Amino acid sequence: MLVTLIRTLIVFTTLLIIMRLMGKRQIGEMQPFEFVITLIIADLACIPMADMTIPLLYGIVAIFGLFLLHQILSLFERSGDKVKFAISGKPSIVINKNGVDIVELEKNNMDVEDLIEAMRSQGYFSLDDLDYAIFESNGKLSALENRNAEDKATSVPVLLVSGGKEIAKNLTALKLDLLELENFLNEQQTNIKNTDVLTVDGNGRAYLKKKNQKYIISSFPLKEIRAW
Amino acid sequence: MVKTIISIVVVACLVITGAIFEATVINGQFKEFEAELNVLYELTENESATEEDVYALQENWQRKKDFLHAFISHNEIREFDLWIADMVTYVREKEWTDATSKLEVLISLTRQAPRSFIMNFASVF
Repeated sequence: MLVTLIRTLIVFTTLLIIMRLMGKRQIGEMQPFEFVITLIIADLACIPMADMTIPLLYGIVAIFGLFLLHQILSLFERSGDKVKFAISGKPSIVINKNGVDIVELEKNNMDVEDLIEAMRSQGYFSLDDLDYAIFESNGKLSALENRNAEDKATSVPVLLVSGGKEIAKNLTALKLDLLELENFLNEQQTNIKNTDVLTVDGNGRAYLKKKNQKYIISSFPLKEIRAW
Repeated sequence: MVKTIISIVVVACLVITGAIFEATVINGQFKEFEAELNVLYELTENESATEEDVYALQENWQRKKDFLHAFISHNEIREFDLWIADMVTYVREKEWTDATSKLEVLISLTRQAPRSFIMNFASVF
């Protein structure tokens, strides 16, 4: 039992030193390679700590190896933007003055629902609440609020069309059928296929972003106007 | 930047030194042990090995293994312990065929053990 305790102390001290040397960023805002290192390091530390048949040195050398890799990658990162982008990726502007940038979202394997979710965690519920939204390379969303938004949403908007496809479950939730949606889009001189994003809130306030066009705020004729 | 470079150099030096140490000192320990095993093998083949010869080998192994525990999987070391313990019985009972076969296994294990930390395709993958 004492042996396990001593092994734990040694691994803990080594890890603490290594994590401190890796810098503060390791704790919170991790770059992809730092995240990978953190994932591996946890197992590397645990296995030799608990398994008495494995020499402790195996774990410690591997941890030092990861530290070496981390330092080399950090050094490369600082050597130029191209290398930095290759290692850590680059920030993606997913909302600009024209509205949601579907292409940029797709490049990051995300969809509008993911964006809306990230925005909600920042306290923004409507896509037009922001002038700019940027997914940083560490996965965090940075937002620049739209101060000129005249008519702020007073209820949570629901996504009806995303990337040229209707969201059936949301249509059902709003008691809407496809025909009503198509009629609305026809009035706006577009169709589902040519619509990047359409959200509607409980007051019928619609955020419509047609393909390759700036978004517009419109009014969606809800059957029974109710706030949710 | 300077701090990062220094840390890279220091850790790289440590790892390289460790690798050289592993390749020379640990390999040397196994080479020494293999030589001892070969001597005992000849004695066993000539049917002149005694219990004391095996005990001497076992004692040498005990000394070596205390150091090797830090570098070699403990299970691998346990295998050596078991085979040597078997050897004692066979030599005591003068069962030379079994004793020789045990020694052959031990020699083979002694040759294989250092391969796990020497850089080659098999040990990497």
